[in-house]
Amino acid sequence: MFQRSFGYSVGTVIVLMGCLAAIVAVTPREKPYTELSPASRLIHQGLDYLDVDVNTPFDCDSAVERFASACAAEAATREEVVTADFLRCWAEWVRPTVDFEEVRRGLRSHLEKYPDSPYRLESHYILGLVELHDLFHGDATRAVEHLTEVYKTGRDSFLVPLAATALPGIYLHLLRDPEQAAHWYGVAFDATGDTHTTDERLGFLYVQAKLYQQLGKTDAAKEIYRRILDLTRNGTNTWTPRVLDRLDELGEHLGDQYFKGLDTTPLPVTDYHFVSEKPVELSVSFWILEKPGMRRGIETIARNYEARSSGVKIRLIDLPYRGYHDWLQSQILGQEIPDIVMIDNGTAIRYGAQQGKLVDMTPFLGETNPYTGMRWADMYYPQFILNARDPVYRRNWIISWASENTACFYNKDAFRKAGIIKRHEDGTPVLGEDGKPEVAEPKTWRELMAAFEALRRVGIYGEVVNFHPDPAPIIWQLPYYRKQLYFDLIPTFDTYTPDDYPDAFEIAEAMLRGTMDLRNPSLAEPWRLLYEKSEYWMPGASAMDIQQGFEAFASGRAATLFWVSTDMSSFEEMCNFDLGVFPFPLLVDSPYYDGEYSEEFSLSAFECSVPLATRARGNLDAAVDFLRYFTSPEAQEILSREAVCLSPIRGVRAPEKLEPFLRRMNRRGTFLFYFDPYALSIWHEPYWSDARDKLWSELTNLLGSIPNYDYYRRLTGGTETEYQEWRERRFDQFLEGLQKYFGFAYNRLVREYSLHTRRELKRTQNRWIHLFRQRHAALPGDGSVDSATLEKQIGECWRSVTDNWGVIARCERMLPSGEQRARYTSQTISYQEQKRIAYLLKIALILLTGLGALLFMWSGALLRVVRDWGYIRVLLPTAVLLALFSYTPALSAIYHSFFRWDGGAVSEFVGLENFRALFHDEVLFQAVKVLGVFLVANLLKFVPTLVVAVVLFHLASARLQYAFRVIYVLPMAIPGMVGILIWKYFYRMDGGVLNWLLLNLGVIRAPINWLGTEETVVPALIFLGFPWVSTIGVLILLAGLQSIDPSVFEAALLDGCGVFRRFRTIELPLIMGQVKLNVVLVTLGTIQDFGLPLVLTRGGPNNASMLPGLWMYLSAFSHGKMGYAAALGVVMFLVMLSLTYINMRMIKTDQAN
Amino acid sequence: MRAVTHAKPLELLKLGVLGAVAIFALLPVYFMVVISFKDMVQFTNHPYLPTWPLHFSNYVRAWGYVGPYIGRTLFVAAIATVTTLFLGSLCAFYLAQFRFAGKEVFFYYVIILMMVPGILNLVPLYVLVTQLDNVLRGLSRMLNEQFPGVQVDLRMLNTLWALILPAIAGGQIMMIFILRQFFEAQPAALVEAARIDGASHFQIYRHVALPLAKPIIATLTVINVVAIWNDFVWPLVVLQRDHYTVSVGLRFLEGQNYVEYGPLMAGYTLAAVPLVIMFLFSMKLFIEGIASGAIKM
Repeated sequence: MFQRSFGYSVGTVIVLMGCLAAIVAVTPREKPYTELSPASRLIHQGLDYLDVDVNTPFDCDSAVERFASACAAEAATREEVVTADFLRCWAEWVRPTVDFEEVRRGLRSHLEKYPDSPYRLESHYILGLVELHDLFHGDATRAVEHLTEVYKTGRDSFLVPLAATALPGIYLHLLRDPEQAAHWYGVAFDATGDTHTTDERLGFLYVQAKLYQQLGKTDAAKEIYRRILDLTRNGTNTWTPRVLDRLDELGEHLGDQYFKGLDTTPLPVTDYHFVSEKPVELSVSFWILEKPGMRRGIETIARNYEARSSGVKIRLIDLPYRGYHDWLQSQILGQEIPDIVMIDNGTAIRYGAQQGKLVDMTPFLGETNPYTGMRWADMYYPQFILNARDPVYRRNWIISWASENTACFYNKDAFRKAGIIKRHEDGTPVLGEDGKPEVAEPKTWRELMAAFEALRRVGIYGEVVNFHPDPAPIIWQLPYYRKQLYFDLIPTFDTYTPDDYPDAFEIAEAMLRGTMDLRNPSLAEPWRLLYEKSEYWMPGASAMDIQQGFEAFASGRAATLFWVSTDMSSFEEMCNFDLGVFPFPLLVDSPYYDGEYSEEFSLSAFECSVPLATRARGNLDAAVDFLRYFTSPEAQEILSREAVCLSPIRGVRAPEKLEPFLRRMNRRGTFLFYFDPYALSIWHEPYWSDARDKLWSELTNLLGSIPNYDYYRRLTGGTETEYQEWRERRFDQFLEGLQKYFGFAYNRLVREYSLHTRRELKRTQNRWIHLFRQRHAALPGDGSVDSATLEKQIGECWRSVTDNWGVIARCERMLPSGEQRARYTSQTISYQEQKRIAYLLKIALILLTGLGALLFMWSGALLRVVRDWGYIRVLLPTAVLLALFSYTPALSAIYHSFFRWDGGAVSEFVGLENFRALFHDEVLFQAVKVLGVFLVANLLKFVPTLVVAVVLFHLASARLQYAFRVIYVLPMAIPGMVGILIWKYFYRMDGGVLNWLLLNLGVIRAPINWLGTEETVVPALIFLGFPWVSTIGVLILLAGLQSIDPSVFEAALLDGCGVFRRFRTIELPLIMGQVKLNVVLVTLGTIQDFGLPLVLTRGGPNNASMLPGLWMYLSAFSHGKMGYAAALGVVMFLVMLSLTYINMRMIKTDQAN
Repeated sequence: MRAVTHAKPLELLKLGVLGAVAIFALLPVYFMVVISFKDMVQFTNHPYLPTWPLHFSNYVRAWGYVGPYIGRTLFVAAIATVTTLFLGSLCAFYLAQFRFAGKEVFFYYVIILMMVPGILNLVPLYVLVTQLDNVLRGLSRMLNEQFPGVQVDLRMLNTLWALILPAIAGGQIMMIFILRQFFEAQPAALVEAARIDGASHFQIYRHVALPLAKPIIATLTVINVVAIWNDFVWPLVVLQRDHYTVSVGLRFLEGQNYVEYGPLMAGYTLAAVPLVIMFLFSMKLFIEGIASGAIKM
């Protein structure tokens, strides 16, 4: 009785303390600001409620309340009252669930009450935005009034260019007044001299001219077009080709005069050197340093830079390519991330735009690079700036520092063997300098197909293409189809800003509205051509990784390979045949061919980003300066010479070896990189991640399984006509699937993007609040920044606010109306709600702890713990270690399963949304089915181990038995990867041992693409590891058998018991416990393990080999959906727990019997 | 020797089965060694059979990515394994041999972790380590300010502790599970006798239990070392160059667009050498440990 009441009271105290802790955790403490006047104090406290990190919700209610009190505070100066009144409206405006009517009312009364308010322009500007973004009650005319007011009375305010750039769009889209729109585009050009990049500004002029052209005012249009040409230098600007095209339409052909092709005049060089105020050690991480040339080049550049500048040391961090992304994902969360990281564009967008972890490089690109004295962006060939740009935000997160081009590598010897050689008129071969016949390189599609046919006749595959989505599913040749086929289609989809550059939203809109339909033959043409070509591919493409493709080429089985220039020199080393390169052929035979394309190198191969942590460390200046030097002509010369690579910087000489990759630059097609849903989804994968995988399945299905008629005939015995019909059918199915996929993908993009943008908006607003405080210098020590810089920064913030609101409004306008919009809004939980729920969750957790403690005490356990302390303390180190390193992460994962979490800063409470999504996940259903098959198979696969153990046990010679045991143990020292690799070779469609064996035995009629066909991939994965003897398992079972009393066997022998009977009646029952435990462990292991499909198939094709564990892994690390993965993990954990429980129960009852 | 006689043909059949299994088990070893001497052309044309000339240069290249890290990896494996074994066996012994409050609770506390999908922990664990790192740095800053004479630099990221501590925690789970069963199977009389002789609990553990468990501990040592040796993602994530382990070093041999299997396999071979040596030395104990029957797969 005493124990109980003692425990009870202690428990109660603990619970009370828990509650107290919860309340303390919940109540925000306001800063006192004692040195300020009462009104200022309230203003600052109010700002504190808005000035929180991105994850904490704004507390708009409290902020509004403080600002209102500040207005009414005693002895408030007029300035304080006006400021507080404006801030009250601002707080309403930044509310994530903004009530436009409230903002409108507040700002209007602010303007009425204080006509001379210092926030007059801001108020008008926000009022303008409100009218624009309020989808239901917005009035474009009123928006125009407010913004015009800002423009007319703003003088040199930073809001003037913003208003000027907002106005033309309103006239064009909302008021449908192209004349006024054109006028305002001109105004926008004039007003944005200091704030926008030349590219953007010329865009205004371009659209202005285009509008005039459409309105029939050709003279005005021509004049503006010519003005653009005069403003762009040497035809290097992205607008030049478009302007020249338009002028062609107007009958003025200035192409020769203005377009000079690839501009290779060397850039100026200055003797600038950077002086760092404090000594800085810059750390720069690369995954490319394992290439000796790259290492030499980059090290030399780093040394030169150190010598040239003062106070900066460069530390290169070397990382392997495999695993680099996992590394980056984790480093980005910590503080140890290097000052500059090598990154690819897709990842940079994920960390930059979506998580806000990278420094936006766009402003720096617009400034002068002191190493040449030119604008940094102008140092590049224009396509590099465009292609490296985030297609939605239009920001550059990366700086390209090396480039590569793609072309067809080919085996000259194979071409000669197939007779594809140049001939004199009399038929004798033209001999080259080396005395061998010269190869006739295919120039057009037809010639290419003819060459492939000739190669096929001599038993060589025409081309090899890889189809493995790891690391990224890239078909390097696809842009070359687009460049030749899509050019004339652009204006059709370029609907929002008619600048002939369709951005992601424009494509999304076209996709969602159905104006872009892949079943349209001209849009389907690239796929059709690829499909046609696929008849000459090496079979098994759909299971082929990049490695296998390369091997097939290197061994001479396939004659061509579309590949990147960077590997040119290693290819020369590794291929023992005559290596040649020819450019992608012209598609002149296609009915949709619309002109010559530009062969300019288009891939930005290697890029770097600067993480935000660098700024926090104060190393930003040095980091940017190093990148400026890295891209300077001097450094680029060194790099391209040492590493044999191309440079994205103009005028840098390309290494001689790469000459075939550097050809003319044509006016057409210089900016077409993204104009394709496919290209967008591959290169900007974070926006479309899981849908991209679906695309890939469709593609591998289409192109991979049955390569050609010959194969088809052997497999089915069908005629050629049947084959053609079958092919057509498949292609139609493919387009159907693709269309569905893209529609889905863009729908998702729009929704996701709106959410991302809200976050970005918040970040900017926080920054504005900082700057606002600085400007008013009301806090001691805050007034140190000079006002010009401050105004500029504030201007940037406002621009960002405008951009983000614009994106949100555009997203919401684009979302299909009605039901879907309702679903969208219901999914978004307001920050206030999130805050409440998160606190409730915390309180619940603390209460639960308290309750647990209470029960624990009540039952008298405390006394027993005290009594047994001598034992328990021994367990403490283990308990603490496990709590810290095993339980904390696991609990954190459980906690985050209720969040939309990307592993980093972005976490939003979504309640049970992740769990609900699990039940609607088709892939997961498929994965569970596959898991079932694997479970059964893995349990059956235990049998051979059992048999071998019994056989080993009955081996007469103890010596041999020991020898076998030693042999069975040894392979443990070899990493499992080696075994997997060898099986991959057994399964190959072309040259694989398994196919060879089965063909010779007459089991199959044609080779099978084991890992690339939906029907065979699971059996293949199960068969892998034949004869499935786990050698260590044999030893373990053997131990069990050896513990059986020998007399049992003697008795059995005397009874005349046969081998099988003995096994059934003696051995099996005696090791049954062992077997049952094994069942449990195999079950748990199968549910958790996914190494095999991860390495071999990544769940493909078409998710046929997907497992729940793999899906969790892919969701977490490929798709960045940590919260979803965590929810899946929690469910898996629960399933495993209950399975184990049931199993344990069964084992226990058996033992009891 | 068992008093069971066997017919000769049956015996041959058995040998055949066991031999075939042995060959399959050793195939990866064969391929690893054979491929490690090939250049790209030899590998693409004849992946399975030995080819001449042998390219020893593969080993030279691979050594650059393996050699510098071997010592450090051994250090990590040794410290982590010894600590894991000590703590794990101690816990297991107490759990198996004594009765005290919270015993069952503790056991479930440990084995429930066997069911948590490991990959899920990666990012939270990393976040945790960075937080600990921050705390330690703050602590050392504070100490340095408080006591100007003292210079401490406590940190966690990029030190081997970031590798060792989680390995100690994670490694113990399986170990406690296995060793508890082992100690439970030992006759209670041994412990009783020692207790009557007046030995303390720790003395019983040290002088009675540990010697008994020598073989099984050898087995667990080997398994633990192999696991640490092959772990890749975690060292990559928490360490920086100059601190890498062998498995991270090996990944440098896999490029972006293609892998040169010759040097890679040479690297695998080199990395396997210390493990093979360890196996050879502990083989007898290792097999004995498995034969003790405590490990149930």
